Amino acid sequence: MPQMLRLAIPNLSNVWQITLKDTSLISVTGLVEIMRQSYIAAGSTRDPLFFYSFAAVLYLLLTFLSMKLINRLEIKYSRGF
Amino acid sequence: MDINLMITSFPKLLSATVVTLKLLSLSLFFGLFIGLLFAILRLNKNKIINKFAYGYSYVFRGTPLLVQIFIIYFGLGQIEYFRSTFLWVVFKEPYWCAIIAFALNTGAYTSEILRSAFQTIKPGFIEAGKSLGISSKIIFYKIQIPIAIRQSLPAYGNEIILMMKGTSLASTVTLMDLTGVAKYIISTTFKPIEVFIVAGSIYLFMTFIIHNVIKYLEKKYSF
Repeated sequence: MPQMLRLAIPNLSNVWQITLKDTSLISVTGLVEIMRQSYIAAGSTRDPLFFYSFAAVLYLLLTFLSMKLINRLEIKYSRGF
Repeated sequence: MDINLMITSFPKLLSATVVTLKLLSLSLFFGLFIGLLFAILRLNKNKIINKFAYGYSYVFRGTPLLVQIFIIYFGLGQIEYFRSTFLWVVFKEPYWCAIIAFALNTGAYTSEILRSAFQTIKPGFIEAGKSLGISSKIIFYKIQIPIAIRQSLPAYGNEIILMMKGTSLASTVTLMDLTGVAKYIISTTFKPIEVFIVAGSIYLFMTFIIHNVIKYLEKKYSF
């Protein structure tokens, strides 16, 4: 397991990042998440630029944080190699 | 299952596929230029230019395509000043907004693909060119770019397929592409399964063709 994880983590992180961005598509079906919330906010305040940019920054932050976390995991699992 | 509906909706969906293919080809065309430009900027020694290109690809790869389309289509129209400029002629059309968003998005991914391809070129090729007295400009155009294209073909084929599926998001900005027309038929017939099966198989068929074309090109340009 540990040896397999070392090789799998970079690709797994890719999948994680892609799925993270694909969650925005859920808003189409009506579940209230970042995208849906900003859609509602943009509609009621007539300020789409601010709210969608805010959503973009949130997503960027999420990918940034998960990248940092995954980097730490990578270092942890590649000890001794 | 309503087989009749599947048969009658097929030609409608097929004509909508033309819109999808137009979106795909135009955004890939512009995206390739953007990608090449930013890949070259990424390899630049200048720190500021380098950081700028990295920031571009980071922002566009770090945010969902849906957000990018919404910002460009809904967001930019909000700026009063922007609406008075000549650019507004382009940005008020959902068609061009979608193409711009797709081109910028695929450009970011393409720049990463091409950059990694440039970096994996063995220095021997460039040194061989230099020792023959070829100028660095011609080395770049005649040696580095062809090798980079060959190296990046598999990854770029992936990107084309991802982009093809990404064009389905154009339906969120009122564009009548394959998904848009499928949604429209569903809203009048209330039979989502049949229509989406047909739409899905058209997407699958396009993926199949793109996959095989890329495979053929890979074989043709392999060395």
